[in-house]
Amino acid sequence: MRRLVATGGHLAILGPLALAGLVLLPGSAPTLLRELPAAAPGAGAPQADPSAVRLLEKASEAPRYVTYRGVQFVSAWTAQGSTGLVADVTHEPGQGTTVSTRGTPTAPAGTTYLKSDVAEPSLLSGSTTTLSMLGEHYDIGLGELSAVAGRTADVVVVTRPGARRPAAQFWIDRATGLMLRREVYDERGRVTRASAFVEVAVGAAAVTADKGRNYGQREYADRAHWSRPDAWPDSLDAATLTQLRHRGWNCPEWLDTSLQLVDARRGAGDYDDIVHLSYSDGLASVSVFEQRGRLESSHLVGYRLASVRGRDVYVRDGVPQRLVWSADGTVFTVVADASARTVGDVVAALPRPPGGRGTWHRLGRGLDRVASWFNPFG
Amino acid sequence: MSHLGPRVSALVDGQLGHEARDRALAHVAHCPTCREALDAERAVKALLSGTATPAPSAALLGALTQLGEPGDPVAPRARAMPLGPVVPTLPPPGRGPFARRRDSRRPSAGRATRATRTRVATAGALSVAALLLGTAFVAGGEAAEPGVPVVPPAAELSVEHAATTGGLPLGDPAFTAVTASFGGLTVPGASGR
Repeated sequence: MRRLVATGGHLAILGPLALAGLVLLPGSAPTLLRELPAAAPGAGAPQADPSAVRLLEKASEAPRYVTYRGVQFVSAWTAQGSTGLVADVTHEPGQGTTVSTRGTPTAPAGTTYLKSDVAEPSLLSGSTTTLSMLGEHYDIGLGELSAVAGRTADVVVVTRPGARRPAAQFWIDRATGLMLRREVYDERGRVTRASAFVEVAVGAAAVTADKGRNYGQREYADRAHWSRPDAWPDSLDAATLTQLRHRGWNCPEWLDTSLQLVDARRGAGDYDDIVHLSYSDGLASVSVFEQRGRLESSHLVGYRLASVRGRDVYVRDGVPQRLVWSADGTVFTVVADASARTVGDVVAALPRPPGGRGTWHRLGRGLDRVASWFNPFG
Repeated sequence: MSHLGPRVSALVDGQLGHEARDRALAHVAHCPTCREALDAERAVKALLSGTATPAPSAALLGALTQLGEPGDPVAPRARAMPLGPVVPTLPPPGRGPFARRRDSRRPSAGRATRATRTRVATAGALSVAALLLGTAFVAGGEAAEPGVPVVPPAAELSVEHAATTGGLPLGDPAFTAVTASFGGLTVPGASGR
C-alpha cells in the first residue's frame, strides 16, 4: 500500500503546520549552517548576525533532545480569505511526532504520525537547503526579547536586503530552543502565514499524560509501523536537466531573480512523465511540475479561471496555492507556499498560455497572426 | 472561548498583544463565524487602504474638454425652393460684398469641402479598421494546442510538494483526499476534540 508523504522531521513540525517554508531538517542543520555565506558587507549583500544564526541552529537541534506537547495554531491568508487549523502536537525525541488536527469546516479532524528517523534531505545534492538559502537571500538579525505561551523567546528577524519591513520573524524559546512562533509577511507587512504554540509543555511528563489521554496503547504502538513515504525517488542531476532542456522541457534554473532551483525529480509509475522542480529562496517554497500535453481544463475540480500577470490560468486557492495552465505542449502545475506577488513572478517566468478567452485577447491574437502573414521573415 | 466580537477589528489592526492574538487566531481556526468576520474585516481594511483618490472617468474628462473647444464647421445649408430648383442661398466664395469678412468669420464652402473629405477619409479608415478587426477576430480563434489531453494529479502533486519542502498541507482539500485514501495515516478512533 502506498503511504502518505509526511516529511520534515521534528522541527519541521512547526514548519509543516505553518504550511510554508523554512525547513530545518534535524541533523543536517549544523552542517548546512556552516555553509551559510558569511555576512558580507557591501551593497545588497545579505547580512547575517551570528547570534541570530546561532539561534536558528539551536532551533534546528532542539527537537533532537526536547520532549514537548502543545497546542499550535496555523493561519494563512490569501486574497480569497483565510485558512486556519488547530493542532495538538506531541513530540518525543527518537520516537516521533504526533499531530492531531481539530476539525474545521473545510477539513476533518485527523492525526498524523511522523517517525523520528530523518529522511535524507530532499533538496538538490544535499548541500543546499532552505536554511542556507535564507542566508543567501535575506538579512538575518535579532529582534527584541518577547514571550510566547508564557515562555521567554528570542526573536530572529528575517528581512530582504534593502527592505524596510521584515519578511518573517521567528520566536525561539530561550530555554530549550524550540520554535514557538513563526510569522511570514507580504511586501506590505501584512501577515500571510502565522503559526504558534498557544500552549506548550516541555518534558516527558506532559507527553506521558498525553499518551494516556489521547490514544489507547495499542494505537500508539501501531504507529511504529507507519512508514514515512518519500518524495519521488528519481532525482535528476544537472546533466539530465540539461538533456531535458534540449528535448524541449523548460526546467528553468531560476524563477524570477530570487527563486532558485533546489531540487529536481521525476515521478515513478503512473507519474513517470512528470518532472518536479522545486524552487526556494529560504522562505517561499514553490514546486513546478511539467507534464507533456495540453490541459484538459474541463476536468479540473475546484479551480477558478483567473488572470495572473495578464495570463489566464486555473487557480485553486488554499495553502499551498495551486495554479495550472498549459503552454507550448506542456502542462504546468505550480504548487506554491508564497506570497501573491511571488506567485505572480513565478507565472510570469514560465511559458505563457496561448492567450486569453475574451474578445480582446482574441483580437490581439488575430492581429498577431494577420501581421505574421505580411511579415516576409515570418 | 467566546466569539471575538469587537476584538476582530483589533486583531486586523494588529492592536492585540501577541498572546491575545495567538489565542484569537487559534479560536478563528475552528470558528467559522469569527473567521467570516475576520475575513470581512480584512477585506474592508484592504479595500480602504488600497483606495486611491477618486478621479473622474476618461469619458467625463473628454466631454468636459470638448465643452471648451470650438465646434466643427457648419455645413452650408441649402433650402428647397417651392416649385423650383435648389438654389444656394449664399454667393460663391469670394464673390459677395462681404466675402472677405465672411471668409474670416464664417465657414466657407471650401472648408465645408475639406470637412466632407475628412468625413470620407474617416469613414474609409473606419471601414478598413473594421475589416482588419473582423479579419483579426476570425483569425484569432483558438488554435488546438498540441499534445494529449492532461489532467494533473492534484493530490499526488500536493503530496510530492510537501515531501520535498517539508510541508504537510493539512489544510489542502486535495491532501485530505489523499489521507482518506491511504489507510495508514489517520489514527483509528482518534477524535478531533
